[in-house]
Amino acid sequence: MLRLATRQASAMLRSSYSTASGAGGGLSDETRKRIDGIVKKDDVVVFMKGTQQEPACGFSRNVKLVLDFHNVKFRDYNVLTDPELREGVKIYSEWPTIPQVYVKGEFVGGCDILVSMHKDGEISDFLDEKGIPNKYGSK
Amino acid sequence: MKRVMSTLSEGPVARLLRDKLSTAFQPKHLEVECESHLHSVPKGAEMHFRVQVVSDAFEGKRVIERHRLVNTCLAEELATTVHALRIDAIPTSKWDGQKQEESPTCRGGFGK
Repeated sequence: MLRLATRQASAMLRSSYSTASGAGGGLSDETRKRIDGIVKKDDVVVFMKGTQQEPACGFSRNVKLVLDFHNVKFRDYNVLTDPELREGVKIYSEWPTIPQVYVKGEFVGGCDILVSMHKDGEISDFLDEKGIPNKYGSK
Repeated sequence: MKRVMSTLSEGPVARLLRDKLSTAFQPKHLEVECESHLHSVPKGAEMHFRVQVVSDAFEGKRVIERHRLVNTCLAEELATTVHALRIDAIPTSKWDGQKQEESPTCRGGFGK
């Protein structure tokens, strides 16, 4: 029953994201290429509300605080000033909310996931594995 | 007692989220709470939620997979009315009554 519910929900998810993009077909090639380029250009990328100097949202701020705590440098992109990016990343990542964290081109999660990785102590091992210098890692 | 009170005054979106999560995950424990009163949105808005779901469906899955299952279950609401969703998705075997984190303070969010 879960699989059926999940499959139906996946179909709904895909169609509702298409509608949200307004382009009648999901992400344009141009936007997809743009986001591709962004997540590959820097090791750690955060799509957030506001900037790392001035986060405009408590969830985005928490992601910045976790990364700062571990001395992880990251490139931030303010979705509040970029509507194409704001909607585009939700389709690209198949993730409905902001903030979104990418490490070495791979989607890691949002605020809940970053905070829980930090609290469980998982985050240092994860960053070590990915070759990202961090304060409490063993490398 | 707080939980009972919020269930009694639960809005339609909260009830819908609760129903969908119950059906999809057959949870051992489920909490659905609107947090829009903590954000800079009109009174009565149902746009920000926290959900804590304890279920066998999360056993053996990485945290991101668990979150994706919840996102998929609530996809329609997330594409429309629900603007922020805090998720605590716990496999039954790891459940020992732990409470979900407090929400971070709203920073204004440009009024959205």
